[in-house]
Amino acid sequence: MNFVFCKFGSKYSTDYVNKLVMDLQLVVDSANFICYTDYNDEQFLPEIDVVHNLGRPTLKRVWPKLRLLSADFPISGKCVYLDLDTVVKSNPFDALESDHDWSTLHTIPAPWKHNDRYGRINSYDVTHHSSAMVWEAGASNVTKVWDHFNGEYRDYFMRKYVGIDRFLAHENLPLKPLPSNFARSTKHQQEDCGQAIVTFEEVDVRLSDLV
Amino acid sequence: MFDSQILYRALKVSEEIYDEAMYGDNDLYRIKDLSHALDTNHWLSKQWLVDKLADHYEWKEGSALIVGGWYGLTAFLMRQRWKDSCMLIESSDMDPMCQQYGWKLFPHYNINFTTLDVNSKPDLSSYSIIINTSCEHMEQEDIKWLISNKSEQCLFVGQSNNYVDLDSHINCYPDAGFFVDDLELDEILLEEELNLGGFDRFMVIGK
Repeated sequence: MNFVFCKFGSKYSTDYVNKLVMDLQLVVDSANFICYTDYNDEQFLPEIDVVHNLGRPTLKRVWPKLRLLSADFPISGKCVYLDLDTVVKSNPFDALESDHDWSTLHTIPAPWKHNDRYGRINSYDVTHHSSAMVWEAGASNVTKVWDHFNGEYRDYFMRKYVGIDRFLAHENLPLKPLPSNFARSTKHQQEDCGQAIVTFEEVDVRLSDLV
Repeated sequence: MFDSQILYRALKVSEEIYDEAMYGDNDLYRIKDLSHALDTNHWLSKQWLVDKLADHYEWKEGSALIVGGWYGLTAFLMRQRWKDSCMLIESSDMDPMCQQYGWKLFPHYNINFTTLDVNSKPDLSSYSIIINTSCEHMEQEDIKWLISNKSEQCLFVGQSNNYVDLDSHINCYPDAGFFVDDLELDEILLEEELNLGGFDRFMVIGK
């Protein structure tokens, strides 16, 4: 099993990656830890396999995360991606059902994002987020996400969408929701039902908030 | 500065996009993108380019390739200065919808709209001017490829900026000096900056 992280830019330090890995090591017996980054690898824990920026297309902010799904990303097998502002409570793989469909990208359902102000499908209806993603590397339904992004409309997509959640939803890419016991949102789900991951999307966090 | 005919056509194209969204392809962001492409700062910076280019390109005839031409504003403003059809003007973009909407926005100006990805390494030998006003959106490697593969006497006109806050601006520079140095042109005819309020646009003309 692979745990994958993405650290581009300076919003989060390598300490966030290292902390996540140390937390995961408490709850999993063995796993690969892979970090895709534009940063010097000397400050990552030695057990982390660092994948340096794969180069063109040049991407910044949230967009390098999509590169994890490309056919040329050097990884194989089942993958769990975690944003750096997440907290691990238990083994995320155990939160998946035995017949989990690994061939399709899964993200976290976020029903609170649903905005019924127009009473019909509209641009506010993005009811998932990608603080955690689950997939099998190389699956055609997964690599098509990157291939769709990295085509003639790549620049247009980066102008059109404020982030990859809307890109995934509005481009009608193959996507399924993770089970409800996979992740809990700090901001929107106060009740702890034993979810494996706690997310901090829409919240500014410091490393001390994640301890 | 603005041309009311062009703005009127932009409204009509926006209507078409809305109709498409009602019955078929739902891409209302195109309306916003068209609006951005005809924003004041684009009219100013493209007109600035045309005025300066005219100082360094004294012939009526030629063949201009605009890469990253978006919906064609640069090509249109060029055509206002070089009215004769012996100046061939091609406005290209990697986004195929730019070709489609370019024809609709600028239908009678003898501009050829094409879809072109510079990474496909097109033949540049026939052009006397190559313009790239979207350097901030493009890989530096591709911009340098344009310069090193154009014919020797072909003018290169490039614009970039220091507006780093947009995700699609993957190749910004802090000032004109850094931008020009990185292009490694054999000859620099012009290097200037234009303040556009919250950011600066840089321009170089060279060979």
